[in-house]
Parts: sequence; structure tokens; C-alpha cells
Amino acid sequence: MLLTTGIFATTVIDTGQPGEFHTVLFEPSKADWQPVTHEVVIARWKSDDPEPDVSLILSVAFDEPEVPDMQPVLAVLSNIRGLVEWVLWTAEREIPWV
Amino acid sequence: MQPRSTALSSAYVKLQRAEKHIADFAAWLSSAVFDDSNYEIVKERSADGGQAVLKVRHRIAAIPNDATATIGDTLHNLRSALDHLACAIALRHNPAANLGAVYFTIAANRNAFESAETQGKLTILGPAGTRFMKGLKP
Repeated sequence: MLLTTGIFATTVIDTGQPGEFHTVLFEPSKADWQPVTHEVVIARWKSDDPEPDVSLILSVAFDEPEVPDMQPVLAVLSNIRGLVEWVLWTAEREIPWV
Repeated sequence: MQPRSTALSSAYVKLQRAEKHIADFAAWLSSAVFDDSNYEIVKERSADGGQAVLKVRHRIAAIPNDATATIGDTLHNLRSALDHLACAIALRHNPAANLGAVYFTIAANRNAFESAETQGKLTILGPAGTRFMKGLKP
């Protein structure tokens, strides 16, 4: 009997590495980019029972992955880029160039 | 994204380089997180053998030097875009301005920005440039 399924709603084994994945696999945003390994239980069953159909579980789990916010570093870089672009745009309009 | 004024062309070139670096970094992030090779399916049995567990193991490698360099290049180009802007403003005010002394002034707080030293550095930008910089509250 399949006791547990669902990659986003099951037990996460914390390996003790930096970061907090908890129940969402695709969210490395709080990791500090040290090498990390996280494990997520996607199925648990009694040993005597037939093994669940792994491909079915994975197809359900991965068909609609939760897309994470991109890494904070990327967000910061993008924000700074936007700010610089705004400064240039403003300078073009506020300073009489000709 | 093209400047309306040719005086700002070099600033926009720097901005575009920064955008390329950001795209490169985003591509690396995507491959680090979503690449199938980062995942492994593992089957384990409990100590008493009564239960079997199926896990997905997800590895994220250490950030490579290339990626950290890309972050630095991005910030450098963004900073350079602002410095090129400051130079363009200074040249507009005085075509013979000593550009070696020109940079986009950023202060830690209002007091630092309004200090005589910082305000003195702004004079090379001329009245319009100084007014513009003060308006940004950098």
C-alpha cells in the first residue's frame, strides 16, 4: 500500500546543510551556494507490498514543478540593472544634452 | 534600448554588457537547479525492513568561479554605466573637463552626500548635472 506520495507535500530529510528546502524541492533560494544535497521522500510503502509505479509518481511530481523565485543574487542584479537603466533614462530627459 | 543622445552611448553599452552577464548567470542558475542530471532516484529500506522508501535526491553544486566572476562583471558594468553617465554630464558642462576626477557619486547617507567634500565633487558636473544628481539622492 502506498502510504505517501507527492513530491511537494512529503517529508524532507534535512541533511544539515545550509538552506531551508522544507516541502518545496525547487527552492534553493536560501541555500548559500555551498554544495548541498537534499532528499525528498516521494513514496513510502510496506516492504511486502508491490513497489509503486515510480514513473507514474515522478510524472505527477515533475509535470507541474513549482518554478521558484530565481536566486536572490539574480533578483538583486536585475533590480540594480533596472535602477541604472532608470537613471540613464531620467538623465536623458532631465538634462539638456543639446 | 537605444540612447536618445549619443553622449550616453557608452553608458548604454555598459548597461547592455551587464544585461548579457545577467542572462549568463540566469542560464547557469537554470542549469544548476533544473538540470535532470542533478536528480537521482533512491530506494531505501527501513532498518527493520518493514518499509521501503523512495526518495528524490537533489544536488546543487558549489557555485563555480565563472558564475561568481559573472556577478562581479555585472556589478562592474552597472557601476561603469553610471560613471560613463557622470562623464557625459561633465563633458556637456565643460568639454575640457578632467574626466579622471569624475565618477557617479554615491553616498552612504544624506549627511555624507551633503558634506562639503561630496558636494565639491559634484561641481564638475555643472549646475544642471548637480541638480540632476541631487534629485537622484544617490
